[in-house]
Amino acid sequence: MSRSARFAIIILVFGVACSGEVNVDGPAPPPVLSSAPSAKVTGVEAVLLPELSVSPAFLTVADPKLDGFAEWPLVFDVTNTSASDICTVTLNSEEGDSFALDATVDAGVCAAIWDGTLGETGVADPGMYEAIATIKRSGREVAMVSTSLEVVRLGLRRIQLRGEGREPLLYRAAGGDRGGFYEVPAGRVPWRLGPDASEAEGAVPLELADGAPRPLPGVWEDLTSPPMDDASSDGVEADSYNFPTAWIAGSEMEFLVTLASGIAGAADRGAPTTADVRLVAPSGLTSVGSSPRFQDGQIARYTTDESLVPNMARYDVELDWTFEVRDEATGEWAAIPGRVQTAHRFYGLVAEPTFDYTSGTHRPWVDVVDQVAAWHDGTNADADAVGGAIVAGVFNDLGLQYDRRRGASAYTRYTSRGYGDAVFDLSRFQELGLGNTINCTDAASIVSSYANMVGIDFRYHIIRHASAGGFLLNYLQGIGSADFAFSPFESGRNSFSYHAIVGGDLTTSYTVFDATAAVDGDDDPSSAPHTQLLVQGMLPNDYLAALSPEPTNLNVFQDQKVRIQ
Amino acid sequence: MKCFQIAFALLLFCAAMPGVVTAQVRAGVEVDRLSPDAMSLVDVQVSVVADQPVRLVYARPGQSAPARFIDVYVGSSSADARRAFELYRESLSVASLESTRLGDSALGGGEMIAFTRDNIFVAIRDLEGQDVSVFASHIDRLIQRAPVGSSQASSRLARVESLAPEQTRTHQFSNQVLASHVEPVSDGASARRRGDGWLLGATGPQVARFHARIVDRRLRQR
Repeated sequence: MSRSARFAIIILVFGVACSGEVNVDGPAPPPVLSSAPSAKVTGVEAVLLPELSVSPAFLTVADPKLDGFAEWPLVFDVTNTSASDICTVTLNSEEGDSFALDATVDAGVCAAIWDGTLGETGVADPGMYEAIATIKRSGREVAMVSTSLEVVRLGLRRIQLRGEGREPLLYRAAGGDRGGFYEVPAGRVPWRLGPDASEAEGAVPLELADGAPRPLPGVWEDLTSPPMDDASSDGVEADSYNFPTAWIAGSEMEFLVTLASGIAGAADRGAPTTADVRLVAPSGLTSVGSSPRFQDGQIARYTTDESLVPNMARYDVELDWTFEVRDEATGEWAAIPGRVQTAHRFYGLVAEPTFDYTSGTHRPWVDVVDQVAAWHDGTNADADAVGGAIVAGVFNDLGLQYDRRRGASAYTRYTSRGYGDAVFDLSRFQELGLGNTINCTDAASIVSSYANMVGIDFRYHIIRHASAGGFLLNYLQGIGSADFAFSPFESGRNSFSYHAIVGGDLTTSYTVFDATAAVDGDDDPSSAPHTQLLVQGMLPNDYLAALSPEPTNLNVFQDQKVRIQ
Repeated sequence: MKCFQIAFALLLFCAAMPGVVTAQVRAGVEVDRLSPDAMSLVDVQVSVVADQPVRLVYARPGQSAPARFIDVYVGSSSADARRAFELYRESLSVASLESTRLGDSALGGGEMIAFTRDNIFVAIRDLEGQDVSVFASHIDRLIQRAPVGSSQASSRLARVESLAPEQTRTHQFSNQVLASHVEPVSDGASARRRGDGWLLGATGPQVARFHARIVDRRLRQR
């Protein structure tokens, strides 16, 4: 008898006598979850049989359709392996189908990498599966173990954002129709995922009718109209959307996240049936209380660790929501591969928007807030700094020019004598529907209404001569003019019948803002040279002296906010 | 003979007091008669505040940029028209304005003229700088030939039915309505302008009510 034949007999005897794990001719033995070390000393050499066990790193739950899911490692620990050992891993479905996976043995681990698909049938449906690992040595199964795992469907279908600092936002032209005002109230859920009424039967929040994952809604970028949907009662998309939200700078937010499962054609499938799965807060958020066990429709609550909107600015934020499954034996939580990455746009405001009127147009308009955020440097939420940025933006960036013929307004009307009750057609102004030629009344309306929408308490004030029909002017650089001029008018007259400016409450120590004209900021504003000084928070007396050579003859009155239409 | 004498005396009296003769209440002026040559009406601006002029915006063919504004206010009296005129004058920043002979009162010249005639205020402003004197006279004559009658649009045109809770409806005004503005006046009511009319909604549990401001084709308001 050769040496190798004797060795084989020794192994067979050992296997049968010591553990009974190997049945050379018969069917595969039942799963072995644990076993005692197996060795036999033969006098000249010890032969060890491999042993298989489920690795503590074995992930029992995953969602192959989750964004970022790349692979599902099915990991088994092996001892006593030899170079010739072959590991195989097989998946059995509840329906009895079996799928062999490529597996390797290395460094005490038998592992198969599963991509979540089952051959030509595509991604595995949610449900329980049995993973069986087997070690073959010299063509024979010498060890086997099995365990169960669950394919689930995990996601989010609603994110509500709450907080005292949240403010509404208004779209001014729903569907492109001027005057089509559409408000997203402060209490409205801004992020939602759901099937459209036009979709085929079987569609669910997380999946299209064909089973493909439903794309998550990106931030709605249109600044004038909400997403439209002919199938909804009011023509505005109500199924999947992602609206920006506005917040008073420094606000903390509460996220109320509604969990979702369900697969195409089976809305009640996909949630974990036995495992304890939870949603994990993205960086910067903390769970309120213990995170609830995953269940379709369950709401998880989180708060911001620090404000996501510290300043007057536009913030585009991406949040990675992940999931964990708890190991029943150890109680430890293990990460489930993949994530739900949601995008959000937050606008930080100076303070609560402030208006003299309550009708539906007196809300922060999305395009206005976005514009102001772009003009401001975003380093603070200081009212004067933001007000100054609005003046600079209106003066420099909107392509406006002063009406050098008459100083006539285009977008604003005083509706009572004495420059009272101004009505500003902001809707047309945002389109420049009445042209780009304005006067001081318009400039005051623009600056003040923009400021009001981001929470700055600006009103319009009127400057007039105390007794005469007009007052003289120093050199000014009118909006849209490249240079300073003796007169703002083509006629050469260097006087105003009145001038509208913007500032705080007249009864307090207010400062002056004006985008109609820059003043000469040097010591002598009545003659060249000229130093451009935008009117961004000037003291009233300084401003009047820069505006006119007869500042002591001027009265400042009217203390109103414009009515917006 | 005595009757003729009385009638003649009345005529003389009226001639001496033109205000008495001209203070008639005109039933507006037909919008289609106001279009400047080679321009088309591209927009009608209605204020959310009552008793304000309607702005007609004209543009050159194929262009969206406005070329001329015509503001028209059909008041119930010449005093109404005069009030609109004074508000307009007040809003101009230029310190001294030339007067012009037109209508009952007028100001401006060249590219901008504002005037009143009877119960109607008109302000014309050409954004291209064209002289509008002749055009303004043309409008004045139109007003003088306009019929005497109601200065207000029919209330029937402005009627908007209330809406039951949880309902939405699109309200379309008659084609006699040139422009409109609808505002909700009860909790839970919403009104949004659409291409095919006004989308009215009642989101709350109670009946939604609305108020409409309209301008008819004779530029009368309600």
